[in-house]
Amino acid sequence: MSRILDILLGPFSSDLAIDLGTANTCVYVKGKGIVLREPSVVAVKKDNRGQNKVLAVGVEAKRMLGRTPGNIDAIRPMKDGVIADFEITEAMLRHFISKVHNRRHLVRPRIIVCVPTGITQVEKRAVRESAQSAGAREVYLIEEPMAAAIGANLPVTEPTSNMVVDIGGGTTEVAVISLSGVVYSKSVRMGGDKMDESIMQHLKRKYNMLIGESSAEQIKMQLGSAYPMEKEQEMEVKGRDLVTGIPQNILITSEEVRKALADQVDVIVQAVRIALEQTPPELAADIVDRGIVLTGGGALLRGLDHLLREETSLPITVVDDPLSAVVLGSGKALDSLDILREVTID
Amino acid sequence: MDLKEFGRLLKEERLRQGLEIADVMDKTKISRMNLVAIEEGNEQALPHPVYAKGFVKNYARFLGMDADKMGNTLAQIYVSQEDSEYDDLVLADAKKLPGVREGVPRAVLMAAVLVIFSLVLGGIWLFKDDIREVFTWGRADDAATVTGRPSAEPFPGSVPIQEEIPGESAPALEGEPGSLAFPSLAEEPVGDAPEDARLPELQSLAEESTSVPEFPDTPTEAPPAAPTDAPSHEAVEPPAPPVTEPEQPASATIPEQPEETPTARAPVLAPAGVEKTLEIRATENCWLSAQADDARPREAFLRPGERFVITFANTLELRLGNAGGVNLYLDGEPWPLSAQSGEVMSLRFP
Repeated sequence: MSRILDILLGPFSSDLAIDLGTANTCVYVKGKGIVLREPSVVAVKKDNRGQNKVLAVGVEAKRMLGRTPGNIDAIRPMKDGVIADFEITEAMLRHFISKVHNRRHLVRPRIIVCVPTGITQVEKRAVRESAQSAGAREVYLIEEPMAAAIGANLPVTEPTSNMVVDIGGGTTEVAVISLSGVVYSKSVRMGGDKMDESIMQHLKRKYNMLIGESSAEQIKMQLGSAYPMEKEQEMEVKGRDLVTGIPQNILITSEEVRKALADQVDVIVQAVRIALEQTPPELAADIVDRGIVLTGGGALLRGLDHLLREETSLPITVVDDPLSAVVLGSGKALDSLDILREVTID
Repeated sequence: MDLKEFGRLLKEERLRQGLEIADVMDKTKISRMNLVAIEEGNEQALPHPVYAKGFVKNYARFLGMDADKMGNTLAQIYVSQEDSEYDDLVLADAKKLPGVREGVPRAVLMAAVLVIFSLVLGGIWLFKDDIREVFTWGRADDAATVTGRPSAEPFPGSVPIQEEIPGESAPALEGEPGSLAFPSLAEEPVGDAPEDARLPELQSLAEESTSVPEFPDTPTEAPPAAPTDAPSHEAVEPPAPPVTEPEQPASATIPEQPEETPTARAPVLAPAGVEKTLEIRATENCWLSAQADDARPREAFLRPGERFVITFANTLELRLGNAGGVNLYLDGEPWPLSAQSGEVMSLRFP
């Protein structure tokens, strides 16, 4: 019965593209564009009978992160680019879908979801099933670097190589794309979250100070850099002193943040190097000419393009809106079914 | 600004700073080929717009110019042409085969919508008659039950006529309340009641539905008379003809009314003399269908003891499902009908 309904009402649904990221989830509605960009955080409240109830999703839930009482849990259901908590992910997806898809009762949308390259079958299945139980009629999976390349308007269908580095919250994807296919791809589980962690570690080691995840992210966004800046900056950070146990303020500079991030940034650089080594010579020649395209939130880290340029001696291009390249690409794939068939994976 | 001017802008800035192409290459890592293509504005040699924009931004940043502004300028003069080509390409790619594939579901969808729509319309068309039948059945039943009362024998024929009276006479009464209503009611003992009380009474006589909300006024302002005249619907019905008939002369004497009242009364009173009344009394279960003059056929199912009365002016077509189970009386006179029980018979009057 539901299948008949789907066939009949399918044309009335608006298809969705979802970038189910570790840090942020973006939703693109066919014909409308990006309609939602919210942090992938769900706040769950445990009631008296021990049952979990979703309290808040997205921005609201992110504000609760690290500030919750015992019975409320602010959870980030995605870890390292894949689903870590199946049920919470489903609840989050359902919330987002119902938010953007107003005719949700009978009409179920077709959904395309971005996944990192090289995730296991189990992880793919988890994504597919959570999207299905969140109310999808059909679920397509698309690899993130491919989506990013399409979203950045790169000529992916041409027989020339396009090298894309997509630095997300949980993973960094390096891929060489030609003729709508991935020639080489590598996914390293390093991204914005790991950078936040190393900032937290640094403050703990050097100043004996504990800060929360959101403060660490704030520091990364304000001070974080990968290459020495012309004008170094300072920032006041609030946290709890480990020795005295009293909250306090300290002043940190962009230079020490850069040092704290150096390890993580180096992982990205190494991944790019390895990718270049593995690329077939004809395509490598194209890359020399065209260089590397950076997408994803990590591309906003100051000086990262500069560092990569120095390290690889290749021209580096940061796309206009790195945060939405992936979801835009999936949306474009949704718009033209032909691209969709070529780029989706099983 | 076209590509050549744009390239010249960058080149002039570079020369002004005394830099060679090699210096730029060294810093930005953009290949000589691309740098030259950008400076010369050579569209053929330029890389894909996305890359070209990235190169220009890097180049401009290196020269200390506004990188974003330069990038956007290039995007306007270069990407727009190329991008549309690219879009065309993508669209052409996308529509080679799937264009057909995409077209089919849309056509199927439209067909489905049409079929559903026509089904719905057809359903309404089919059921329209049924709905009317149900409606007329209800009316026929009403007539039958009304005539079931022995005292109402002369009346039932006028039941449909009475229905017309309120509609026709009400405007006449309300239109000229002062001239029409007062002379007729002045002789009645209610005469000393205030105007407000009398008008609702009149309306309650003429139009049953409006009488209901008006009642609360009448008992308070005209205590003795009002309750006797207008207590309820059923009490109102019998005196209706006597009240309307005295009006007839009253309205005839008034010169303003003669045009309206005869036309209003004509269909009501004139045929009454010519009309014939057929009464059907059932002794067994019997279905019947009767068409008086040109009116819509009425159907009824009579059980033993029930009566069905119909009035007609000229012709009456009657169809009996069980002619042996009924007795007919035309204007009160028994009408001979010889039929077996269970016989179907069609009759035509006169």
